[in-house]
Amino acid sequence: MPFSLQVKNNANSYRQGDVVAIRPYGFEYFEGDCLEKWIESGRTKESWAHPFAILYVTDENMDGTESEVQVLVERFSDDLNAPFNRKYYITLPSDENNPHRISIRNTGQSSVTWAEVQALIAEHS
Amino acid sequence: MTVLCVNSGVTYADIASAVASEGGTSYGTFTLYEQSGTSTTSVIFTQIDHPDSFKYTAKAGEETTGDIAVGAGTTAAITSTVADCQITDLRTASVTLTSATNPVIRRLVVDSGGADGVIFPNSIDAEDILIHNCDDGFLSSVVRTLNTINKCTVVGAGRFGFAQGVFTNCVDVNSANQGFFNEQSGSANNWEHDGTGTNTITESPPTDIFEDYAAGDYRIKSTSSPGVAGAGAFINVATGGVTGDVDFTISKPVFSASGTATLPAPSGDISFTIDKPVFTASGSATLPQPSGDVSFIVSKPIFSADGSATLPQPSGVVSFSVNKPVFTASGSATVPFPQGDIAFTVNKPLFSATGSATQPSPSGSIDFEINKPVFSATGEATLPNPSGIVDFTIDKPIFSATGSVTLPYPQGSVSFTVNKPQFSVTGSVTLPQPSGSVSFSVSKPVFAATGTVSGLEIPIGTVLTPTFGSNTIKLPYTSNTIKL
Repeated sequence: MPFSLQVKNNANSYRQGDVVAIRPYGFEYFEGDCLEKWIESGRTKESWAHPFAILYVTDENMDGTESEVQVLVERFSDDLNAPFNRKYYITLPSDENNPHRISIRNTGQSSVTWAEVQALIAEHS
Repeated sequence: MTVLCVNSGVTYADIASAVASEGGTSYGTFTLYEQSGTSTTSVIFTQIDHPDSFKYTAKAGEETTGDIAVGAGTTAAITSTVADCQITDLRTASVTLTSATNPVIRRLVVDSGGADGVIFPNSIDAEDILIHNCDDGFLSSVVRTLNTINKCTVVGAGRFGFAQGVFTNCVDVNSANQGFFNEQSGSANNWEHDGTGTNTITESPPTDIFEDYAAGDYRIKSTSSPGVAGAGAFINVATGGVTGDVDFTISKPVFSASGTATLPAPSGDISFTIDKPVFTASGSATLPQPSGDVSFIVSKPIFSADGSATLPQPSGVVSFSVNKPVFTASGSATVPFPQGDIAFTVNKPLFSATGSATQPSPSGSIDFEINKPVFSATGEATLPNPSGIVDFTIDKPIFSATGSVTLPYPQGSVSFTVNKPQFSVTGSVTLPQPSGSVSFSVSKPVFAATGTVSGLEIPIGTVLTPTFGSNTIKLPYTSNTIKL
């Protein structure tokens, strides 16, 4: 079953973000979680000021519980005062015409394969 | 499942998403998160994300009850390092507060899935916390001597129920190792099944102290040994739930005391006294978690005391007194977590004291006295966390005392006294953390005291000396005359 990744963009780079949570298939997002629901709630795209993007992983043979996926929510350190620190992050391609970047720009979300996500994962130093 | 950030008015899928988005925003007051349903993602609240602290609580109507299956919350761990944070009315997994200063937790039901329940700092203020399915219940890795952990329950701990701190009015049931371990000075009234606390549960099995252990209802019976002692979380003081509206009305009670005496030819003194009659109407309602409106009304009570004496030819002293009548109407409502509106009304109370004396041919002195009547109407409401509107009204109370004397041909002295009546209306409302509006009104009380003397013929040589400069003599009919 497919799953989704709720990504919080880095404050200094809209291309880069940590994974807030790995959401199971059918997970219901709300207005604060994604641009699509924000607009459905009667608000405008221009007023969307939340840092989230949703990546829908389409692999039918995965459900998000795999260890290779779960590493995305590992903490960087045991420092409880560090704000939202994951060990790994996702960086979207630098090409602004990349279809995923276009989709996220326009709709706040994109559908990807796990192989595509894997290629975008890097480790915080 | 949703989490509403009340400050921004934005709804998120769960607490992790809400904190990730709202984190870092300063609202000038604590960030308030309201949980509906169940979140499944762990969350860490940090000081940098919450510069004005935060409160994480349940949406109204989804608060915990002491039944482990009831209430909004999260199945994942909560960690907070935020000073003065508040976590209330939720079901949670493990709660780690080791690095938080002055955290407050209330009415939590903690299922820590075999891990430790609440890991606490020295400054924790915890009350009404129920922990089950845990290794240690309340635990600190170092000894705490300044913490407040009061009225909490741990059920079935894998090791200790309560360890390394100060614990008061707590209950441990079926911990595998010890109920209380290395508790510090100040610990008191702690109940367990294994002799490690200060009191031993008398029920056998000890789970009989709960309303329905097998069904997961871990509210403590008020009649159980720890319940009677006021120990444990979620003590079930009510015998049943209140889900509908509640009306409590005493409608127009009437109290009357009357006496008559007919004495054709008395030769001695006569005393006719109604001494300090007391009328009391009281009602109380204790409703732990009402979901409907509550009305409490004392409707227009009437108090009257009458006395009359017919004395054709008295030769001695006649005394007529209504001695210090007391009227009291009081009502109180204690409503811990009301969700509806509250109205509290004392509706137009009337007090009257009347006395009259007709003495055709008195030869002695006459005293007519209404002695210091006291009227008081008191109402109070204590509402810890009301979320609705509170109205408190005492509607235009009226007090009147009237006395009249008709003396066709008096030959002795006449005394007519209304002794300094006292009227007081008092109302108080105590609202520690109201989120609704409160109105409090006492409509313009009316007080009247009237005394009249008529038919008075002043003997020759009498000097009239009015007591007050404001006294006047009125001649309502042209036939009245004053002759000197």
